[in-house]
Amino acid sequence: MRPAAEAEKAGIPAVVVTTTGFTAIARAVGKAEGISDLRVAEYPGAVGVHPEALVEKNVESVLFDQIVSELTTARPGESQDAPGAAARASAIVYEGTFDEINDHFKRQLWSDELPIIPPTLERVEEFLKHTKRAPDEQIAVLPPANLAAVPWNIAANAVMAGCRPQHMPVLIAAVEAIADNAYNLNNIGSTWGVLPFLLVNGPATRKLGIENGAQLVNKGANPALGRALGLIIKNIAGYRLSRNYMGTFGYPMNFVVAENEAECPWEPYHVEHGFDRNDSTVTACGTVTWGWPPAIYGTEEKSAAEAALEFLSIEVTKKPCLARLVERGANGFRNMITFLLAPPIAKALHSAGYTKQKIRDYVYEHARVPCRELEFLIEYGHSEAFKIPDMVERGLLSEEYLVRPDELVRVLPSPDVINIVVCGDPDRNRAMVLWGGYVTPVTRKIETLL
Amino acid sequence: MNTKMGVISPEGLQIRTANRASRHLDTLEGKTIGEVYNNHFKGEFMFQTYRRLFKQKFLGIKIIPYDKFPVVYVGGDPAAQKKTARDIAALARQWGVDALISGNGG
Repeated sequence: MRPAAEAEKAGIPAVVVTTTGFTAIARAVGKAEGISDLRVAEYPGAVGVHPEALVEKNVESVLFDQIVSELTTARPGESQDAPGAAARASAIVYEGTFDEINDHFKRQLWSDELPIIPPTLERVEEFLKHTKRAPDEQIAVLPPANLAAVPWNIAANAVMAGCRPQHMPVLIAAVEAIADNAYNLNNIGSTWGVLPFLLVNGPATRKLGIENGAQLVNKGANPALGRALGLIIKNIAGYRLSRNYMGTFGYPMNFVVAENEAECPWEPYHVEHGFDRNDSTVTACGTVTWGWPPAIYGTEEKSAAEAALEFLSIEVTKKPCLARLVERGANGFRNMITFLLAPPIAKALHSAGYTKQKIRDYVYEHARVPCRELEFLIEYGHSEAFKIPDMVERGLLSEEYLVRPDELVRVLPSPDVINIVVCGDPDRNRAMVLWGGYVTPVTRKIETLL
Repeated sequence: MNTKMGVISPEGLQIRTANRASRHLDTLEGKTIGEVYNNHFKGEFMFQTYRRLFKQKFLGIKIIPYDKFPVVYVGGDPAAQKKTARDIAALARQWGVDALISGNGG
């Protein structure tokens, strides 16, 4: 969509070819890129399962005429953005009872289908007392809608989610993190169903009751903060289900984890990434997986640390979309793997001499699949026009992938895509591997809690 | 529960106004069509069909195939993607492209 928008800006009519159901997202991306009525032609159905002859027939009978029409027919044009859209963020936009407000927010697509706490001025102003930022200060511009986040609307979403006013600095830092180009918020509307989540480190976790232990994502401040993140992505970033937020099976609730720094035998995540241990930070992360956390056992023959490393390597190869995971380079696909290690697993690894980097290096080296499996995933999981040799030529893969079909090849582009977080039940010997295609983690410092 | 309350909007604030799409072409006859492709969703079959139909239906039409333009790829970050998009638009202008087909989204 972006080349079409840039061509339109250059005065060249451009039509985007998309598939059924994606016209709205194409137009939304076009609008975010500065073109309000992008030309779109829609191929009928799921082209991935259509044989070549059917593709040709559908182009002849449906798509081609749309393309010609889009390029040669005068357009009525959509209205410009409504005047006053940049009205004061503190303006009262609706008055009603609790139920009426909830109905209104559902109609406006402002809720997540669950009841919300009405963001009254009084409640929102309580949140504004917990940040030094001016209420109208632009914290960030969030893609894909390219709308401005200011403390007023961040607080409104936090109120709706059930957060406490003291949570405000966490959410401001979270907004700054997801706004960073490196995070890639602009591209998470994919049918994959990419789910943003937050990692919180530092003293703020204790002060705000953000849980790091057993069942952490469901306890303490975590669920409300996760819900607020989801509402911010919907209302400020502009992701709307079935319009530009296209997860095929939808999205679980956004969640929050905190690192158990007291039980972490290594430097905690934020210190590892250049922050002071006494800083508090938010890291914007993403996953498309949740799932089984294997229990890891040591024996006389194989230590718990060795078993853990082998388990983690196996788990990485079981994650979806290996064809994208392997890509590297500036134009390579963005990836992040997150290892959630329960404290006993982390301690077993640490006792055996493994640092976080040594764990990354081990898994990078040992997580491998037969090359033919990768070829299959590229050809039938992505309908790619290019294969491994083309990917090598384009710099997306190194030459080590030019091997016979049964030879084992790495599934990770670099050890650095692995993020290690110690959390979860401190009495369990389990680990979980989350894979977050499309995003890379971005960490921001939380301003002083007020 | 029946008390009336006033609420503020949770939405982000508009910071710029979008532009309209450029003017349509009166005809495709004699025009130059640029193709842009991201290697997705069987576009290679679609583009070859467009080429055949364009040549059948529009006299003097010229096609600049997608392999002459940079690949629009799902990888990279938004800044890299935007640069590729701008490079493509600049090439299209340089080569006298009258209309662009960009595929395949979905």
